[in-house]
Amino acid sequence: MSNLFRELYSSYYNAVAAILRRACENGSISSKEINDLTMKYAFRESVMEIPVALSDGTWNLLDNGESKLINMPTMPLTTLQLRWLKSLLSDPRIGLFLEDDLLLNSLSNVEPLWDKEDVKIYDNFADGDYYEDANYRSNWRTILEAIREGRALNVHFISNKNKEHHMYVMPTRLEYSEKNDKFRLLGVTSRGNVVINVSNIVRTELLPEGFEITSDNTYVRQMREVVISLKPDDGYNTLERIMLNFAHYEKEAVMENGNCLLTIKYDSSDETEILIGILSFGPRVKVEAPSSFVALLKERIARQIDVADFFP
Amino acid sequence: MPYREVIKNFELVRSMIRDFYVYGFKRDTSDVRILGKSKRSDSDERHRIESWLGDYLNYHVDDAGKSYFLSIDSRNGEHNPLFKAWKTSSFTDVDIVMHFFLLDILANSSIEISFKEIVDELSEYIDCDESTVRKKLKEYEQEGIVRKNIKGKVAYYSRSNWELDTIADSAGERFDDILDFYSEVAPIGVVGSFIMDKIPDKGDSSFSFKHHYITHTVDSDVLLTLMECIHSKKVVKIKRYRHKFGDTNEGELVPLRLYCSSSSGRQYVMCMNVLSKKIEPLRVDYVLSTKAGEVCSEYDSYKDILNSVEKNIWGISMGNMRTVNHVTFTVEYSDTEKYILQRLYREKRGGNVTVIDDNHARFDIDVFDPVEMFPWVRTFICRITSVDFGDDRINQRFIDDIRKMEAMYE
Repeated sequence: MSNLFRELYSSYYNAVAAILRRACENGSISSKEINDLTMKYAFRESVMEIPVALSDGTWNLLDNGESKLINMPTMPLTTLQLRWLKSLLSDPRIGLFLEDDLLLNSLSNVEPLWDKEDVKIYDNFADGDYYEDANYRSNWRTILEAIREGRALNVHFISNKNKEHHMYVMPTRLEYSEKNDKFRLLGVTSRGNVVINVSNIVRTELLPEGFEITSDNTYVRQMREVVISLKPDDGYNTLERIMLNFAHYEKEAVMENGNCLLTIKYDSSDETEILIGILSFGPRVKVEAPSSFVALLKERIARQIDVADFFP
Repeated sequence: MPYREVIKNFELVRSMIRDFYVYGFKRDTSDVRILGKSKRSDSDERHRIESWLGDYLNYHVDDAGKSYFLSIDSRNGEHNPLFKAWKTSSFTDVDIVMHFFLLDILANSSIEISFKEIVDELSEYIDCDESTVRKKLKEYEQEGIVRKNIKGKVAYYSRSNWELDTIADSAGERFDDILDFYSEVAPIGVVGSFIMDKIPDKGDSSFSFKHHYITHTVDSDVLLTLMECIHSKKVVKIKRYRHKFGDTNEGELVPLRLYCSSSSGRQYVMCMNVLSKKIEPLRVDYVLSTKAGEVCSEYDSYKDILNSVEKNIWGISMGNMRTVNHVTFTVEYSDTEKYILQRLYREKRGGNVTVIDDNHARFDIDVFDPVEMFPWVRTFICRITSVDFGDDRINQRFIDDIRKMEAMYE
């Protein structure tokens, strides 16, 4: 029997809990509110099932919009949820979030699902962020607070040229890369978008309020496309490998004359990463378009043959 | 049976979601085989996936017919949409009504009432027999949300005191952030999503993710059993798809450690095959079913073996675990390309980097399977001045591949 695929965790249960909660809070709930909450917590076609079952008494939980429950609907955490939470406490990044041992003490009798040594990321980079550093933690927490409260920051950081700068930033997100094992601050300034490695930040000052994000300074990603072709059954499982490798990019695949044509959309700042990602597949994949991308590849291959001592 | 958007068995959609997301497409007219499954009608499954993931599902028409694809840009900062698939379990009308009334009767952990009292109270709202109530209480006891206390011959029930609010308070002001972050990066992250669902009016996540892979979400149940077996040092009985042979087989393995790739999202569990006495990588998405077995008395010695050979594993391939090849290559870089040296240091894993002069550096490592290094070494194409994989045939294969690439673009 599945441990995860249980009705306790289902969106239908969550939607009904939200409906009953609203009914408890307000004394009753309207049909429109029931539909809205169903749409919010369940799926596209759930409005054809949940509101009907509640109104016709199939699920005898409401009486003319009033909850039949005496209390607000809540559910304790399951053992699985507690074990999962306990497992997080062995992760080095948890110190960014927690400032004391209260959660550890609360879960002291809970057996984790895994320990740190049970999991290995075998190909991430060796120069990840140092999460133990007190200044790093302080800056990271200030950024998170600024995002949550919609406030701007005065960020002092070390640039690529090893000089200290500062700028007023309206933070939008903290971006994390498992591969780099790094956090980056994404935000906007009065002149446009900005990305700063948290590890390069010297100090942050939380400003009393935020500033307006307009079309002039909104974080707009410059998107590009590359089209590659490959044989679906080349004996090397290339189709699956490349799909997995680029699984985190928006992409579209089309079959044409026995070839798979794959279009990958990427942020222009990721072009080198895409280029070396395609190179890593060697002759199993071919870039078809755009010609500028093909030229980049041809140039690298020509340079390789020129520079190596192993090509006669 | 009429169509419903909730389902009884997750396996029905596991392979289909994977086809949609990993492959980016699914033929309307023919079935893509995966995980050893045979052809079958999939219109209901597709209909369901449209209902669950409609915002991400699209289609186009080409010369082979109508193709559906699931396209998700993981940098948009939304939560993993594939979690929704785990929240589609079907239930009976009695299940859902009993759930809310039962937890309403057991409103807090200080209330302890007998089985008979529970049945009496429930009967005011719902028409169900004692065995159904008993079964539900047993299920909730196993889930950990209800406790049973036998006094004399009478069973009393109370609610667990692991309330979400209490745990959230002990975690401090960033409990929601913990869930936002770890549901995306920790193993079996869907469990974090289950917790988030219980937080009324939870705000948006402050995080976004780069190099983020979510495909393994559909394998969460398989991984859960494997992680439980690792933690409790148990044997696991598995049925798996074998890509090499295109068939399935069954067997017993001793799972030792989860290996995750941050550059492909693949998940493997390194296992000791007790019959062959070899460590082998078990690809999690190829596992069809799992069942925890007995505690393995040799577990710690198997783990020691893995720890001792780990330095010779580049990715997950173990070769024959006897022969180790010395791999070495040299790269050149200009004065303005010092980031290449940084790349070597950053990406070297268990290897060594030696700076030869201002513009050259050498990489060395001993590995079981040098071919597994091809993809990484190729990322340095345009600056590899020499390379040796410790085997002439492998060297020639690497060189031939570059020639083929040259020919491809002529």
